[in-house]
Amino acid sequence: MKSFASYKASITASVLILAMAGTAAAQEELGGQTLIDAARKEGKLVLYTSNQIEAEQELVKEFNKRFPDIRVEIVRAPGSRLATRIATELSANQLSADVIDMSDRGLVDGIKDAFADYAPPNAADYPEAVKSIPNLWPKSTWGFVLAHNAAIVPEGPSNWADLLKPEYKGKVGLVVANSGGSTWTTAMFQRKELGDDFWQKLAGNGVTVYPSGSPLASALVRGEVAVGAAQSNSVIPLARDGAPISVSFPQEGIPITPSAAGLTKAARNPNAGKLYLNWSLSAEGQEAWVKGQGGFSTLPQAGLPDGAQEGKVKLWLPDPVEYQSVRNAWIAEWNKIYNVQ
Amino acid sequence: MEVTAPKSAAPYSDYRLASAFKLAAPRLWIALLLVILAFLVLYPVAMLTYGALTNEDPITGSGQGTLSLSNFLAVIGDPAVRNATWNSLVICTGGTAIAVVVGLLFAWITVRTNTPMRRFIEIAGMLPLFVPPLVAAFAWGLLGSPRTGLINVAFSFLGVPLSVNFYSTAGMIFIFGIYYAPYVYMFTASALKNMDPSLEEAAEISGVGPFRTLFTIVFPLITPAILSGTLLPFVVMLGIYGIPAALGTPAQISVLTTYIYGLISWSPPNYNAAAATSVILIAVTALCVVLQQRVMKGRSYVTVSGKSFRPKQLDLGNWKWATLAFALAYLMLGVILPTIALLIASFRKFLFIPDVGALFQLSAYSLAHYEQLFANPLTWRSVVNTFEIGLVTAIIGGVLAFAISYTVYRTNLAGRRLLDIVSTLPVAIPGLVVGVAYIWAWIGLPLNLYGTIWILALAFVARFLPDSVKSLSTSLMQIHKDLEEASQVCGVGVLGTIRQIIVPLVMPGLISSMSLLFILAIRELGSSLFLYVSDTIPMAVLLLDFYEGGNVGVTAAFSLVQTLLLVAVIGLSTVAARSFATFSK
Repeated sequence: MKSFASYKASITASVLILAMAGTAAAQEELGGQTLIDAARKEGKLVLYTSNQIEAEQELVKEFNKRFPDIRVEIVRAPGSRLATRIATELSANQLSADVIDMSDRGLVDGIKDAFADYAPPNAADYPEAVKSIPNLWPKSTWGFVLAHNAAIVPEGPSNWADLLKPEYKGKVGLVVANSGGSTWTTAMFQRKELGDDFWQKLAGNGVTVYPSGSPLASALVRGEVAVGAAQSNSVIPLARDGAPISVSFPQEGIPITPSAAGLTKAARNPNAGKLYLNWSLSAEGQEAWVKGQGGFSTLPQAGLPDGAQEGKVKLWLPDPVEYQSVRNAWIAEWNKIYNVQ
Repeated sequence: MEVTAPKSAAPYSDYRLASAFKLAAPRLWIALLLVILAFLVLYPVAMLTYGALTNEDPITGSGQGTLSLSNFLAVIGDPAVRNATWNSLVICTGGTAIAVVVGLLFAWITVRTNTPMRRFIEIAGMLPLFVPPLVAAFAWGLLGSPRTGLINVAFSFLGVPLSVNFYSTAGMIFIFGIYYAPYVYMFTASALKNMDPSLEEAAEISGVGPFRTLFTIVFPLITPAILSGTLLPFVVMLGIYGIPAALGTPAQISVLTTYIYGLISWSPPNYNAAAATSVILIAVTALCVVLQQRVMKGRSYVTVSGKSFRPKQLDLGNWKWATLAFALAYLMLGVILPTIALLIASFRKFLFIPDVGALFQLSAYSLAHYEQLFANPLTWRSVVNTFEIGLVTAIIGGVLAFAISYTVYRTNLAGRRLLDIVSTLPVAIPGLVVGVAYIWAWIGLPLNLYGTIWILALAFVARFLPDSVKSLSTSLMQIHKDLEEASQVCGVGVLGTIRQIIVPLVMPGLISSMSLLFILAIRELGSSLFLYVSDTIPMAVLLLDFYEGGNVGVTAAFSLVQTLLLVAVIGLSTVAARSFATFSK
């Protein structure tokens, strides 16, 4: 009897321990109970980001499912405006951000003093290629895919070279190369992987150039342009919601741009900030971005957005040194070819 | 304030003190105004100029940067800048021409003719002013884009062999003209209202026709209002980003503002070149101001004197239907069509409308975008913030503008010309650049302005000082000196005269200039971009966030909500102005 009772007790105990170990493991992944308690005590954090506001709000909703008592306040601006704001706040000692997520790694140089030492618990899972800047991590990764209005051209382009087909003449939409980090990566990818003359050939096919990703996505939905290269996280949710848009993942490769996110030295809510970063960089946070918002991730566990087939998709990361060194000269050429001033 | 000669045995020293005060007071007054303007305008402009002359950020730089003209020379020598300048001048001249013709006709129709439905036309004619430029261009992009614009869809349905393309220079001129006509209307309508009709009556008795009277008597008499109404929209158009960004960029038409936006938005941002480029805008504006002063010099435009009169209404006969048609056509273009476009965009799940039939598929419509908008916690916060900012801007800005315009236009104090010039400066600096100038100038001050709504409100007060001073000055210039002199002869002091004579007479003008400030503050986007923090986000910035996030439906829904809120505020202030007028009678 006694042995049975102790057997039962030991089973119960081990189940309990296992369960606790499960949550403890999950908590460990996010930085441990002490951090979580401290973050809860702070109760809020301020995030500066270049991500689209509603997309970031969706991520915060997911975060709040786990941590409902930590409020995330967002200041959103495109990369260069954000960098200017941060640099100015920094020099006046008035930086109000706890966490900064910069879309363009090229802009980090001027504000690198803002960041505190930080690494997520799962740092080892990230590839070396995205660890070129100390303390900064790829919280959000954007990728450019092909999209077409299926009501106008039922068979859209399935690879980059298709954009040059005469049937799309005058119907192609593009975003200016210098709009941000991801558009620059895309232009760089095209020139390096599709041929030195790809820009010229594409310009010759009559393109309409949009100042940023959103007017292009809207022009695609409306049929103002029929095909285009667009950010996956702006077109995949549209297609999912029923817009007449179809997305394809070009075989030559998908240029992806990892952001540079970190904790600030000036953080008033360092624990909440750290917890948000840990969560964002965890498999759960990255999946929320990839599966929920149609973005990409450099964390292998996060998978690919809906519609992309594992093994068939080639992600293309720019060389971090070349990304900076050829930028100004190549952008100037791009602007000339597409008559952008 | 008013000092009279000492009665009998009053101590001599008191008299000396009082007269010393009387002598010093005007100087102190001018000095006070100049100090305020130095803080609001000169200091930020100085920061901007420093930025244009150096190669580093005035705040974050080491202070070791060398001063040189290289930014200016690079800007002037750049063919892209010359092209953008030329495009800006062409588009803004064309836009101003349309705005002046439309606005002036509109003012005349509502104030001086017996055109039917004038009250309605008067209110609805101001509506385009409440529409932020980005929203207007966004709506007209939906209506007038070359392939799937609603107008082209309608044309092809009706079998009309026409098509429009608003992604063009002509398209931008048209949109600028439509949306800035209310500026001209505002300046000229109040002048027309306050005009003594005896000259027109004389013309009528002498057998002069109504249109000849209009061009030989009415318009020449309100020349200062027309000139202000021409100058201001022209300069404001030069600084607008939203319209050329949405309509010009797809056609690769670059103007100065989109060029500057590129300089500060693309990476790496180049504020020094942006500051240098905006100096071109400042130069063009300065030229306009000088021209205006030349033309106005030595003329009198007094139309309100002590005589009592009622504005005369012209019987247009059958022509009144033509003027009604004109007004309705304007309403159609400026208000109804864009509102329809926004309504469709906000209620429709997606904006793919290949033919007219698709417009009537009810299943394509839903409340989803509104639900999403109102579920967003930032929406209400931004509405509250915006109203606070608008209110503070309108009150501080209105009082300051009154103080400045009274001093400039109704006194002979030394230094008033300087006040005039300094208060006109901000109009020349594009909002995008001005925001940077303000953060450069004010973030380091120990006032803790940054992070509060006050930094936004003060920036708006400074930015819209030219608009409010000019709109008040037209009311002030029309009040005859006789009225003040009469009051002073009766022994009333300067402050007493202002209170008893000037304020009641310009009160409608002051209220409308405060309303204008309120509207401008609510619409303002460019200069807010650097000044808000997460707590103080205004509606315009959140709208841009939605727009840049690519959510057309929510953008359209928020645009409509914003416009409705503005219309409600204006409705209230019109009622307030009317009841004040009735009360003071």
